[in-house]
Parts: sequence; structure tokens; C-alpha cells
Amino acid sequence: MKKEDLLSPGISACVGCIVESSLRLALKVLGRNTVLAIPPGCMGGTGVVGWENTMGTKIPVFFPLFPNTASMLSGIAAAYEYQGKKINVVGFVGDGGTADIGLQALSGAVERNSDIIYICYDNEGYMNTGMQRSSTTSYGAWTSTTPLGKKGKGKTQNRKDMAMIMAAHDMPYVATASPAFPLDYTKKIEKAMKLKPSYIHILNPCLTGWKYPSEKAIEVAKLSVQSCAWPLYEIENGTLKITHKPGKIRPIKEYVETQGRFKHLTEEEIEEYQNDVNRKWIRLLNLEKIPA
Amino acid sequence: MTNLENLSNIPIGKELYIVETGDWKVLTPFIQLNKCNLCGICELYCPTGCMFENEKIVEINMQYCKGCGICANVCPTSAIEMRAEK
Amino acid sequence: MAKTTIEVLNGNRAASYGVILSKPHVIAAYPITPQTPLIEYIAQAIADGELDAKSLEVESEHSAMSALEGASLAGARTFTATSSQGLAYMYEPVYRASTLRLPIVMNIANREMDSPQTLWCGHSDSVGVRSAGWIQFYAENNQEILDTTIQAFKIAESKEVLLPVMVCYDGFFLSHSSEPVEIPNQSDVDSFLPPYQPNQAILDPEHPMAIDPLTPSSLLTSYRYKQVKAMEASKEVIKNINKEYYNKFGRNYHGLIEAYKCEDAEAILVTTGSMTGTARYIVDKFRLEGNRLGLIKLRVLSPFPAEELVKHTSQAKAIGVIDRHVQFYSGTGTAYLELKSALYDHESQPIVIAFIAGLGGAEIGIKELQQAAKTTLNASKKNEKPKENIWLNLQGGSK
Repeated sequence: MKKEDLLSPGISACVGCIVESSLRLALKVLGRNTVLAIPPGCMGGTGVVGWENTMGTKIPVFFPLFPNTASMLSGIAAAYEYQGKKINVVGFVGDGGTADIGLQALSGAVERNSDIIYICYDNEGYMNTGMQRSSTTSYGAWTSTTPLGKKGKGKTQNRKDMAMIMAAHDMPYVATASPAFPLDYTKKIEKAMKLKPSYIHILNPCLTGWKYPSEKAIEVAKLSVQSCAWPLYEIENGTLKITHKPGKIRPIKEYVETQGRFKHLTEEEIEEYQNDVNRKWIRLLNLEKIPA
Repeated sequence: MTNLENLSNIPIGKELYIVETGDWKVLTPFIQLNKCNLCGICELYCPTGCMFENEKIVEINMQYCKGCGICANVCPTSAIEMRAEK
Repeated sequence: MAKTTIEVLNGNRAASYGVILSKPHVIAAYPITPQTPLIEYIAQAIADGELDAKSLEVESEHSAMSALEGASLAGARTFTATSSQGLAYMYEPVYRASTLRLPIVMNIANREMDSPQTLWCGHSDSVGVRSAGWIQFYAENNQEILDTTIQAFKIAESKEVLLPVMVCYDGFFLSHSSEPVEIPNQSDVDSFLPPYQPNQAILDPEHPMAIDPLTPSSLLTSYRYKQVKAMEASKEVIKNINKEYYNKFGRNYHGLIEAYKCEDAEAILVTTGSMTGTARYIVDKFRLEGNRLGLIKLRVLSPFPAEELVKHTSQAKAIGVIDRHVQFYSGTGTAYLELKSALYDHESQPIVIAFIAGLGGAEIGIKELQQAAKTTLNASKKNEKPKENIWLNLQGGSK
């Protein structure tokens, strides 16, 4: 990647935080003609917006409020449209700020065809504030608000499928991505810049919340894709295409075993997880066959 | 009396925010140049963007390397070793 | 002054002209009774090509204010409108509009806050957000709604101020009732209200900056202080812009308050909003009967015009403050509390009586204002404050 690194070289993300790498990569593709929204969350907390009188990026950046990233972006895009300016209006938002508190704003902004690029970095929880569960946290995962105990077995609900929810808005471009497949991700960002409003959902393993050693980040991410727990696909103007079909599909057990947050899962629970993943993968393969 | 004249109306940042994250390292990456084939995969995956190629040699900006070990983990030729020394 | 037209307009329509003439760039609003006709008129104006603005039909009031903050940071002149529940829903970004020093203008068609379920007039909505740092105007009639909305943009965008402004008007009593209104000419408004020039903070790739980075307490304290100073400075700006508008358009709203027949008044009523119109009639009537009754119209609640109020009330013997809301924590209205607080440091201390009236659409009509006037005059003559706060619309009277 020979493009310009527009993120500060020293931000206080965890050692081996792969969200940092996803943001860095995204900004390289987006370039200087970009305005960036970073709501409260991991990236906000690490200094990407800045501290005191400093800025964490080399492009305009600001803090939206937690629920309103997409609405603020929608307003900014409207202002630029009025002024006749063509600028990338981008939100880089966590799963909490997207699927939970930010969902209404996102749905509205997309339904209004706002000229925005929305990237959700999903580390499956409110990691910045201490690893509380979000609606995209995987079934069974330990989090600080779904802890283990005499009566606690981790999260009892399945994860919300944000990408499909956004696809149901009939928006020009929806894609899932993984930091283990950076060229797939950058290609998707390039498409997202042209087909707006666009939505990219990237699953970022979190060493602190998912509990794995820092160097394994890409291994864990790769397994999420190769086990079909996190399929990579894009939906361009209604046509679904799976952008990576694993050569040999790994069993979900392998994925689960890399993370301490799943350590307590029983054989039955892992089997349930496997069945759910299989069901969704077959559904995805069938969806791919249906014309737009 | 606070000197409000020089204060902007709202907080804005114009200088780049930089933390000396290199100080965080417990392990330090060492590249064995004879094994490195300049594939660029370490640079692609490095979260802090501190790896770069300089005249056919991969260098690491130790000022910002946090010692996460991802580079060593993804290197296809195992050319990078994480060592407990600076 | 160029040719104007006079039309019979309801308050929402008058407000819409104020907005259209001020030419905002981005409008984002969500419908709520009794504001809805206002945003419909604006939508029609855009559809007819009368107003060149980007309109976002947002999915909630929270998103309305949020979208405007984004647009304002990107350099646009912005406008929205709401009432009661909507204003409460957008409280999170409403507070931020002032702390980000954005010159957003908002019309509030005042409506009582739920519960009980209501749609009708009350000030609990806008008074409820008085701590959010917005400048707040209360209009007496539909002409004032139009004129004050135009003035609001100029006040908000003044570089000494840079604070958002809400122009409030009574739901249904003004919003849906028609009065003759003179509509200024666009060219005159253009010369009165120059184009918006964003100040300092802007989202622009040509001038990269971080807006609102995480801020330590010492710096935050300085920003709060600076904002308080701006609110103080706005008092002069409001007065000056009132004068400028009067010179250009011929209508004078007297700045922060209007003192009507207060010079020798023994008893003074303090009113807010449309009740002022009826109160004028009552003052005139009581004057004809030989009573030294006066009236102060509280045009601006925030910044609170303590100095002006004290100047006109301190020589009277009794002041009857009629609030169109009640603060649960004190059992009185806000204007009452603020006036008493302002008078505390003054040597002469008139009796101040709290009247609560007009909640949830209740009328503050001749009967109610007569009672308020009589009670206040009585207090001034006997030099005796009533034992209780007085609820003018309470069935069976207050105990």
C-alpha cells in the first residue's frame, strides 16, 4: 500500500488492535478529500479525533454523539450538496454505535439516500467501555454484562445480522469484510466510494474482549471467514456475490477454540453454533443464485 | 482573568496527536533479512503502520511499534522473530 | 423599504415566511402537532422553487438536530422546528448545539409535555430546555413570529454571539390562529441578513482540523466561561438588532422585554407569549378604572433580562408573574423564580406573586387575567403577599 497514511502513527489502541489497521487501510483508500466521523467507542477513545487541541488524523475529523453518526453525516452531505462540493463523507463506527443506539439514525440516513460511506467496525461488544455485550456479540460469548456464573452462561441471544438488515434497505452497496483479507476490503472501499450510500461491515477480532494473544489477530480473523462464521460477500445494486469461498471450510470448533470468551461452551452449544453457521452459509449460497 | 481572546469558540485540534506507543513494547520484532523476500505482507497487516520498505530492506519505526507480534505471525517465510529485548 | 404584502396568516404560516425569507441552506425536521403545518409550508416552498434549500425528512427529532449540527459544521445556515416531546427527544443534540456554538435557528410551537396525553399549548417544553444554552424568544403575535425568526438568524450568526436561537410561539393560540401579517420584501431581508460566514470551526478538507476532540477539565471550564460571556454579550446584540429591524421594517419589539405603562405602576403583571395580547387589554381597562397597573412582556427568557426587569419592577409594590408552566421542584414558574432572584440584591423588594396558568391548552383569557390583575393590585394596596401560589385554571381553585 503506497498510498498516504492519514492516521497518526501513535494512537493508544490496544497492542495488536486490528481495528487500528482497518482504519488506517480505509483512510489510505479514501484519501485526503474526506471528512471522518468517529463516535464514542474504541477509535474515539484511542485518540483518533484528538485530545485537547490536537487531531488524530490528517483529514477533518470530529466526534458525533453516540446515537447520531449517520444523521450528522446525512446533514454534512446535504450541506456539501448545497455547496456543490464532492467530498467523501465517512463514518467509522463500532457495532454498538451501529446496530444498537445508532440503528435508527443509520436506517433513516440510508433510506434518504444520503451521500455517505458508513463503515462499521465490529468487535462484537462495547469494548472501549469494558467489553459489554452488543447486539452483534456472538451467541454464548462471555462479556462483562453477560458474564459466567452459577446462572450465567454468556450471551443467550444470537448475533444480529446488520449487513442483511442494511441490504433490506435496497441500498446501492453493502459488503462484509475481514482484516484477514485486506485486498478484498480495500476493493470494497473503492466500490463504496462510488456507490453511495454504502455500508461495509468489517468483523474485527478484539484481543482484549475476545481473549487471545495479540499476535493471533489475523489467524482469528481468517478462521472467522474460513469457518463461514463470517462470510465475505457484497451486494451491489441488489446482486449478491460471495467474494471469498473458503477452499476447505474449517469447523466452527476451531474458530471457537482460539478465543477465551468461548472457553466455557459445551459440546452441545458448539454444535448449535455449527448448525446455525451451516444454515446461514447454505442460505447465502442460495441467495447468490437468485438474480437481483 | 482567563485569556479568552486566544481561545477558539469550541475545542478544535490542529496539531497531530501522537503517543509514543513504542514505549509500550514488551517484545521487539527482529527481521532476519536473509529470509525476507520483500513480499510486503507484514507492512499490509501492521496495525500501527510502522513497517516500511526502504531501499530493498524492510524497516520498522520502533518509535511506534507496540510489539504486538502480528508481523511475525503473518510472515510467510517466518523471517520475523519477537524477542524480549529492545 | 420595498413593497410588502399583508396577508391573513396563522402562526405557522407566518413562521414559514420568516424562514423562507432568511434562506437557510439545510432544513431537517420531523412532524409533531402543532408544528406540522410549518414544515409543510416550507416543503411546499421548496417544491415550488421559492426556497433553494436541501430538506432532510428525517426519521426523528434527535436526527433532525443532529443532521443540522453536521450541516452547520460543514458551513450551512440551518433551520428546524418542533414541539414538546420532539424537543425533549432532541435534548442530547440540543445541548450540544450551544456548546458547539452553532447558529442554528429553531421554531418551537409550544406544547405541554406529556403526561397526561396532550397536544395543546404549554411552555413546559421550551422552559424544560432552558439550561441547554439556547437564546429563547417568546412571540406575542404572528407578526412577531415572522419578524423574530428573521432576527434570530442575524443574532445567532453574530460573531459576538454564535449561539443557537429558538423562537417560541404558543401552540394553537398562535400557530393555528390567523392574524393580519405584513410580509417583508425579500430584497430588504437580504440587505438586513447577510449570507452566513462560518467562524473558525469547519469541516473542510482544505482546512483539516479535529472538531471537538476529548477535552480536559481545565480547558472545558474555559470554554464554558467563554460561552457564558457570549450569552451575556447577546443581550446588547438582541437590543441592537431589534433597533436595526425597527429602523428598516418599522416594527419595534423593544429588545429583551417590553415595559407597558410601568412608569408609575403600583402593580405589574409579567407575561410571556400570546397571553400578553390579552394582558394589554386588561391593563388598559384597569387603568381606565383608575388603577395603576402595568405590564411587562418577557420577550426573551434566555439570556434572562434580570437588569431590565429589576429596573422596571423594583419601584412597584407588587408583581404578578404569570408562567405558562409549573416547575415541580418549586411549585412555581421559572420567570417567577428568576425575577425574585434578580430582585434579591435590590434595596426595594416588591411582593412577587406566582401565577400558574394556561397548562395543556387552558385559556389565559380575560377572566384569568382579571383575577391576576385584581390579586396583584390587592397585594400592592395591602402590602400583603397571598399565602399560596395561584393557579388560574384550577377547578375549584388552589388550596
